[in-house]
Amino acid sequence: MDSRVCVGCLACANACQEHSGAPEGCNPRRTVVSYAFEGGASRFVSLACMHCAEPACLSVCPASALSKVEGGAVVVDRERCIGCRYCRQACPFDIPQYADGLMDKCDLCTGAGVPTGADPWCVQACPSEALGFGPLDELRERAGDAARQVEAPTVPSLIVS
Amino acid sequence: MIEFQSTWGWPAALYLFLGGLGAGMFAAASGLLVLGRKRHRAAVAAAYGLATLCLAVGLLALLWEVGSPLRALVLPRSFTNMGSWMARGAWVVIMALAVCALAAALASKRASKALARAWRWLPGAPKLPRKQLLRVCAVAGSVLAMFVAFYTGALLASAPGVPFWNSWLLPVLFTVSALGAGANAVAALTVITGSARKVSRVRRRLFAYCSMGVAVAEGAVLTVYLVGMLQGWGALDPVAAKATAVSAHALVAGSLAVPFWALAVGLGLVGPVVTSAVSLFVRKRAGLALVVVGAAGALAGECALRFLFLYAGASADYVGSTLAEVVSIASIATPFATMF
Repeated sequence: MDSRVCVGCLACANACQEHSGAPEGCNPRRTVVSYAFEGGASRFVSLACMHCAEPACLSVCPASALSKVEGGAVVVDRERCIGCRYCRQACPFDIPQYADGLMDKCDLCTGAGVPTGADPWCVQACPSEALGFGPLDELRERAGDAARQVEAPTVPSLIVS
Repeated sequence: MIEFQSTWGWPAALYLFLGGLGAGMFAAASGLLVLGRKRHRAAVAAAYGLATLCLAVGLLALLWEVGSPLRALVLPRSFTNMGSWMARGAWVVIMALAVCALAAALASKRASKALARAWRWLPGAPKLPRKQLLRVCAVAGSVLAMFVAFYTGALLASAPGVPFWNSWLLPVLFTVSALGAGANAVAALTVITGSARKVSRVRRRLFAYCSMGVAVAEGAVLTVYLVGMLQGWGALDPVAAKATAVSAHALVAGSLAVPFWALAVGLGLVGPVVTSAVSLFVRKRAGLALVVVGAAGALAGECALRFLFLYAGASADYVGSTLAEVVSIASIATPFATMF
């Protein structure tokens, strides 16, 4: 996620709502957050599930409804979910949301016709190429020295520059 | 502006309270059973009955909070991940509820007779050993109850989204507070059922000291907890430490300070200590009335503590802190996020 070029146009969130296959009555799985810093600087950050290396949602889920699949995506099985919202409580980023009482989250658009490893719809829709998708080392190389991987107990796979 | 967690609402807080109270009452009543099975029979039966009710109502509250309650009721399918405290807790609470209900039936004269009569319908069944069975239930139930009290805290402690809960001192605090609430409730029940009047002066003194002791222990754990959270001791990283301080500050001196000091500390901790202490120096009848008043306050205080601890959970802004580093104005950054 390159905050230097993001203009906050919400194309990513709109693409998510339109194409990701999120159930009816759900917010898009991606949102744009505006950060205003003291001294006047401000940046937009587009946020969705960071498919952490050590996902807390997965380890606390009582029903074993979450799993980390091939390609690294953390996905939910809505057939198993009981809607206890423990995953949202465990997620440092409040990513899990609920439709019809059951959890919904980003699956990197694998449920919306995007093959594993290809760009999800949000990345395809970004006009300023602020969003990127791929293996972390490639993204790190692309982002340069100023970029940082978000540090949190769950080891999220998001690089911000 | 501070944002507190809104993922779990009042039903979850009520469950945390009732689960702890039920567990504490069961353990305290089992202690009373050892002291005087016959004398305190009515109080023990009432306590076991109320403990069962607490756990049952708590579970109903929990089902209310869950998005798909019918699915949740199919335990073997819904609670399979034994690494999750929610799954561990669900199984143990169900077991505790069953043992509690059996103990309640066995402790009450009428229900245990009915139970023994029903038992005789089984062909070839020996006479129901009611006394021994009650003893087994008391021991097994107390072990389960302690686990339940501990788990209500562990459930929160293992959710890394809320740093304020991420301390193993939280299950300890909730266990002590559950025991305090249980002991106070059982003491009140001995007064209400009349068995407290027959207790010797020495023993009443002992009960008063117990009540004060639990409150002082809870106060000590609570103090260490909040000071630790304000200082960020044990927080995984500086970002989490900031969030723990926000939550602790809200309780001690911020937007939640009034209910915290008045209810959780005043009624829940100071109240029972004062009433117990005064009850030692006044006439018997007034002293016993004071025990009931103190216990009512203690229960209200413990309830408030669970609600406040649940409500005060604030999350750490890891993205904001990373961004601040990237923008390299880390020293002055207090990012203010607006969600679209």
